Amino acid sequence: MDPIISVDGVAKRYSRKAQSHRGYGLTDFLREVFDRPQATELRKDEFWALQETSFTMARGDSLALIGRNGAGKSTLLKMMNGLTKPDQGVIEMRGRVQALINLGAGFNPALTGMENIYNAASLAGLKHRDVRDIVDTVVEFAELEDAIESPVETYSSGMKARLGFAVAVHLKPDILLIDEVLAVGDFAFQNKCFLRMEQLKQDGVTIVFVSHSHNTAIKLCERALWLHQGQVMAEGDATATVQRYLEYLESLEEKKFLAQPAPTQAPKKSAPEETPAEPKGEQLYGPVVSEETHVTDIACDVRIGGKTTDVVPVHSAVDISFSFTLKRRVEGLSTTLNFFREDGLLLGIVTTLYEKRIEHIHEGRVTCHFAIPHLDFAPGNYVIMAPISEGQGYLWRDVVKRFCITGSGTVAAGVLYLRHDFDLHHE
Amino acid sequence: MSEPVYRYAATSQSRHPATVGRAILHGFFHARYTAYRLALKDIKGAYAKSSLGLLWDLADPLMFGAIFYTLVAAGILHPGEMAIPYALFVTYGMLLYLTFTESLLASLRLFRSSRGLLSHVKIAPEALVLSVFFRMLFNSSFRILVLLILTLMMTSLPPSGIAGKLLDLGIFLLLFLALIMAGMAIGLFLAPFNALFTDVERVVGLVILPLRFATPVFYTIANTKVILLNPVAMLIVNLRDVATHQGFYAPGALLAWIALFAILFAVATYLFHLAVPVLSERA
Repeated sequence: MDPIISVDGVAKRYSRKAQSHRGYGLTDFLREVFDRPQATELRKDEFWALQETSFTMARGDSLALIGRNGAGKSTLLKMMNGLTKPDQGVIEMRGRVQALINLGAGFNPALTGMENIYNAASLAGLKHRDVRDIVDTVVEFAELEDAIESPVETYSSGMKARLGFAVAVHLKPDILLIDEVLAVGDFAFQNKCFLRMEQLKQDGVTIVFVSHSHNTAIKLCERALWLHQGQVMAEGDATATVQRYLEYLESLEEKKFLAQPAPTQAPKKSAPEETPAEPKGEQLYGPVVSEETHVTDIACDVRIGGKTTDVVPVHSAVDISFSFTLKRRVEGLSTTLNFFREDGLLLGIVTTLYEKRIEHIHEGRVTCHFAIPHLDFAPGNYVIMAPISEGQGYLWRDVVKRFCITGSGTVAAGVLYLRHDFDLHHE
Repeated sequence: MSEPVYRYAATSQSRHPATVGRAILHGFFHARYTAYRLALKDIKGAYAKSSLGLLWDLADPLMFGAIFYTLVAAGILHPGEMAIPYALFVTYGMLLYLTFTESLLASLRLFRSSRGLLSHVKIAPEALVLSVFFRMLFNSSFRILVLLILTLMMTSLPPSGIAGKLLDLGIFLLLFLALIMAGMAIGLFLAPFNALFTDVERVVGLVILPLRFATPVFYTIANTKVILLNPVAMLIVNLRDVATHQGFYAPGALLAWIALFAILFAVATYLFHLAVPVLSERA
């Protein structure tokens, strides 16, 4: 049986400069008109947006296109929908194709939702009577019964997306091309859309899905194609391909992370004060007290098996050594390590505050070891913010460490990657 | 029903012109409803927030006509000998010329005005062409109504009576379609180039303005060469003459121009069909 989608050696190039982009446009158009072969090499200022891409899909297959921005995913989708012409290769699509590249495409904001349903459906090739047959179902699916006679310009972006998606999935396509359009809309509607797509899959609809959500890609698709700078890096089972892609992303993050300078401290202040300093305002990781008025020579190391590192495999047993020099006698000293995700989300703390508050301590070097048997944070970049307190006041509070957790392509959602086993029974 | 097969290849579609021709005919036939909805969307969108709607469309040419009528009535301007009242002459001239330029510019701007659509929705290029045609028909219907009412008010019945009037009306409507086709043919032919370089539209704008004065819009033109060599003049003179029961002006030349525009329209449609997948992202 012939594949429903066949992409064979497809390539597409674009120009980086607007002037040459238009100039090459004229050349390409004239070559098209006079049946002259298109240039096979890159011309000045051009780059390959997609190269030598080949795959086939059978009826009912689902393929996730993954990769970073500019990888060529949307370019491929547009060529598969016939919106733009390949510069090399051939694409064959057998069946009615419906693309969800932009859910509001073709909508006129001045017209009502109902009028836009008729317009959008007519763009997909439906006749008036065919639209009339599905219009009630579309309105019901979009949950827009009360707003369907209002102009679309009065809709929220979520409502527009609901309307666009509802129209697209009720047109009975054989092939559905979806480009990261479900990011809008509330969770309940997104869930409804995914359930609908599952239904379409079961009905034999072939789905090509561009997504930056790896979990969604794995859940919706059996296969994945990883594109990077226009080249196919991997293609196959969705989970395995996504894992390879995540491994690659982690290696990039690791390189980026190691290239970052170590956290710097504020300049020293010469005259010591007797009272704890005031925080200097809220930052991403809470208030910062960076003057070394009361403490100095702050150091923090993360160790695995006695070896200092900034790159921690997920679930590792880590020892964190935090040390500083007190410049004066302190009453009620406590030290804490606050673990933040890079974006500022506090994940947890380890502290001496509740158990080992030291009532009287003289000036001198203080070292505190924290042992964490399993660091179960999800792969990503993390920050340790370390307050040193005297009673309720901060002697010092700033970032002492940045580290990253790697997961060898682990697909994790949320902030923790819980170690687990499972057993599935079916009766 | 067999499932459709779409094939997108790097090789030129021109290699198989018959296939392209069939695709164009298929597009025109099957995209009628799409084109109708596109035209309706544009029309409704354009007048959604206007109380006077289409009246604004007539305001500009009628205002010009009124100014010229006043100038002629005051003896400042001498439009030359004419068989019909000047008010009728200038109204015909303005509304017909407006129809021509509107058809030309709407087709010329087709890539740019449809950019959002072309980059997200797979649509037969012929649907866009038809939608322009439908829009022009819609706009023209009001103009034709105004012209017919004025003609009935200001002219007498032809010697052939009602039958002759109806025959003239039929020929007038056919010539009106030819006028729209002429504008669309030129616009569509230039549309791919205008998609890449807006200079094209500027040049067209520069030509349209003086062309109005080389066309019997506000006054008669005695020089027959100017009329014969100016296809817009040929169409407008004949439309006005037929509508006011004065017969044809140089029918042979008129037919030759119409045939030429029909060929240009076919070529332009072919080029537009080829251009859409190549230029849609570059517009």
